Amino acid sequence: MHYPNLYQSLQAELGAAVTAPDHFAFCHAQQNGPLAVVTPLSEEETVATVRWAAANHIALVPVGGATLLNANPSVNDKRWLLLSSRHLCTVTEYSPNDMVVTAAAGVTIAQLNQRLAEFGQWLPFDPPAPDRATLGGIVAANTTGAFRTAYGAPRDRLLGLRALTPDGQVIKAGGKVVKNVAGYDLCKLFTGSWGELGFILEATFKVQPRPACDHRLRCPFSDPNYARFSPDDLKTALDVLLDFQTRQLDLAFAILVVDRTVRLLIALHGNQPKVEWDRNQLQSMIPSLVELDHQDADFSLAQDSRIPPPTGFAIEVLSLPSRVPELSLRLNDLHPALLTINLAAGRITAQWSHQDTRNEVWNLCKSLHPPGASCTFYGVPELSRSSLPAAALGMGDAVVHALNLRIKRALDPNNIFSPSRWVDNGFETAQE
Amino acid sequence: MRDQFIATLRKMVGEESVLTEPAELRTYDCDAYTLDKARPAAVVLPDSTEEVAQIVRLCNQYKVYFVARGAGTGLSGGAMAMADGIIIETARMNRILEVDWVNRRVVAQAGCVNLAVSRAVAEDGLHFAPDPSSQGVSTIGGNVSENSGGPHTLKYGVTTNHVTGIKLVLPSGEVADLGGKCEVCNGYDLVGLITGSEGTLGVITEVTLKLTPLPVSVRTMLAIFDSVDSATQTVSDIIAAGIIPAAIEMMDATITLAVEQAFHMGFPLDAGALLLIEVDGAEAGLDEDADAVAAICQRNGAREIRRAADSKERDLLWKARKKGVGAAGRLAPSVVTQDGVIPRSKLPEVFREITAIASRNQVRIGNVFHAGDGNLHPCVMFDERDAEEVKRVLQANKEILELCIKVGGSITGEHGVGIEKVNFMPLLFSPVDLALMERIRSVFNPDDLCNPGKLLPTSKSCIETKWRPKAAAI
Ligand SMILES: Cc1cc2nc3c(=O)[nH]c(=O)nc-3n(C[C@H](O)[C@H](O)[C@H](O)COP(=O)(O)OP(=O)(O)OC[C@H]3O[C@@H](n4cnc5c(N)ncnc54)[C@H](O)[C@@H]3O)c2cc1C
Repeated sequence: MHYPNLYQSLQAELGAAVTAPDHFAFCHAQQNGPLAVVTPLSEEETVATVRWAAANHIALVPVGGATLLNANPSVNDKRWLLLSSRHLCTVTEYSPNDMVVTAAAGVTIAQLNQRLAEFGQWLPFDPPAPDRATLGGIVAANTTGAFRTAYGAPRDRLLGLRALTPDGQVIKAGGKVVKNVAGYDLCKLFTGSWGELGFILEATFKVQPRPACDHRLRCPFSDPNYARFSPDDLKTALDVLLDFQTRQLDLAFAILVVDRTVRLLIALHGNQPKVEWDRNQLQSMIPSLVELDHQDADFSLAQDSRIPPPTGFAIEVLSLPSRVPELSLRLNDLHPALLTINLAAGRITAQWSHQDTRNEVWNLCKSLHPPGASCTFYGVPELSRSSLPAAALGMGDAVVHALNLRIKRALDPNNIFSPSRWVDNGFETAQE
Repeated sequence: MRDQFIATLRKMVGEESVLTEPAELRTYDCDAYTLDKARPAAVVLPDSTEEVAQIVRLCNQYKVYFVARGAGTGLSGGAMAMADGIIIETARMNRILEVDWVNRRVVAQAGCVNLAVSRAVAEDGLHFAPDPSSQGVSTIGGNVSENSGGPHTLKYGVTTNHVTGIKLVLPSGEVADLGGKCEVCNGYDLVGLITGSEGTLGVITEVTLKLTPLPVSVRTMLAIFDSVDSATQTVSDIIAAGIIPAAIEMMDATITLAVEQAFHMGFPLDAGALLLIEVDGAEAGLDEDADAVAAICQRNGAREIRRAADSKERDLLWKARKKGVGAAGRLAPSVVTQDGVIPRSKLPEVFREITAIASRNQVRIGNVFHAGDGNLHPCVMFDERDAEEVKRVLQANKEILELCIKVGGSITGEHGVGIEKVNFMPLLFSPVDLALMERIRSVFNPDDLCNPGKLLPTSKSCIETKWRPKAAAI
């Protein structure tokens, strides 16, 4: 839908660029899509937008590179705008000697890592589509990828942030030093809050020296000449991952990629002697390991596994390492087009190229609880988290759910930010 | 009413679990921060989550303030009670409930001692990585509440990076099971919010912790420098070189003297500063890392580098470091330990300024701290009975914390705000930031019965006027 008059009057009012949400195909598929996209050029314009939206009871859904807009969609009956961080993209402060960087929310992880590379450093997050995924989005979704076990999640590296609250005030959480316990850790509250508590303006992270050596390996677990792998191939591969876990191997990651064949991708990080030693050790366990180029298509396949095919959908299941084999096999029974399994991180992704299996996947996810597993759907427009049972969301019991809602209400009393996206079910204390 | 409250308490948990005799209560006047003191009406020692919940509900009924206490080693007055309030001590809740080896998790009661957790899983090649110097006595509940650090948090992260689940008795008496064994929880990260909340959002009764594989190999070295300047420059250079040792700890001449008097380690008393540096990991490649570190020390003029030949020598070096703050107590009757954090590249300049602050205020300051994290611990030594000296100590503390803020740092890296630093919070946070924190507190603790007067200056309580005789002097 297009509202030329609305765009004009909004633009005049806010100063910020206001456009039709044409680029956001996913939103078009939603029954109640956004009115427009507001893309402020400055913090002042962002503040003006938030104040205007609050005054006019219009909801705001923050968006960065839109790589995760299709996960936990904001399904609500309010009028709403997408508030884009795309033009807030300066690296404000970088002190390589302190290994600390501060950057605006709209900086992409690829841009930032290019800058950090000049000093042999990086921020070790590997979300899908790194050239579009912004720091604000990465924090809001607490999302990374294969490197999660080795280098931690955004929650572990975020030192501080500045954010806009629903009343248009700028708040600061944390700071710019690597250790800090002054006050409540509001960084934790914003991290993984899916844009429900405010608009993140800027974030400060603890960065990491790049490993002197980054070695990549692959091992096939099925015969590439067959039309499709056999379930036993997958079982064997899962046994190997479980063996890695119990032996406490120090790997940067080990991921199974499963489509027509089953193969294991491994990254080894460290100095030269360590990586060589690791490699020899692995080689003695799995002789069929081969060296791999960093550019190998399998890595981007694994990294982007949450981006669903155009007409399909994807899910991510987060659980415990010990549950991964069983869950992987159950998901595999539903014939996904692509399955990736990171046992150490307790993480499985699966995607299907059509929507037919959705109900079966849905039923499987419902049965995940207990003990402790959660799932996120990508690319199902009409699916709001509020329509999933609390148990499948891993939301905890009634007391915990009520606490979550009370926090949302205390920080966003008029439900301006990302309504119904995460903990809030339209402010109803809906229980299963 | 008070008698009725105490009598009900006794009925709830048993006679022997409620302390009310003045002689028994004296220990609870303060924690390891001794400048503020207040005597609780009673100390109660529950045995289970259910008992804690009952106690908290009773406190609500009688409108009695309560505060949780672990081992009382806190250094910011967090576990100090309100006068007439009660202390809920977790000493009896010290059991390890479950070790999940495959998933590397342990579930422990809040009163379990830090080191007891690591000892229980050492055979499986695992440990609980956060290692505050007080780890032989401090509790998991205290560690989580303070988000404690330790020497090895440089590489392994602080407590919050190792907690996945918390059972919390809310200030209303309800029990909330936050998070679990999974690393990623759904809903807001309440486990992350509770960690470091200094006992102001409820009473923690159980914690699920991540376990970390023990390093296969370790290299520990002690580098001796003529001046503090060259030692601090070395720390900056190691970090800038992209090496992340497991720990870089520093002791200055004053602390070295105290340690030497206590343990006779053969440390040179004319040295300006000592750096204790450890690298760990797989055996392969470790010598290369250790050599790279040693080369940086040498480039900065290290007079001598002693490498620990075996685990016995390593333990001895660590003993010297871990008992450093305690040893400072040999040099003066009272010690307050500051906990500011600064960007690591600013260490040389900040140290010069701390020396100037000490001499300007005529106080004696020894430094033993987590240099790799930029987390300072200036130990200010004095005699608590000398009111004039106490004033100068507080002034020096204030100047040091202001200095930390000025160079872009924070007022506390691991000891917490407690009662000690509440008045510094407005220097670090705006009224809007503080109001937001206050709102969060009200979500959990609307009547402010749970540990009032701590962490936030705006919290409603009479503690500032009534119970802050000394630190209030700032
Ligand atoms: C010699 C010495 C060395 C130290 N070294 C370090 C160090 O290296 N790193 C470091 O970070 N700290 C250090 N500390 C400070 C202190 O040991 C830590 O803060 C520790 O975590 C406190 O644990 P505790 O059990 O003694 O807690 P307490 O002092 O009893 O309590 C601390 C705070 O936690 C709250 N609390 C305790 N238990 C609970 C619970 N179950 N539920 C809710 N709230 C609770 C209390 O209300 C209080 O606010 C040191 C202290 C000393 C005396």
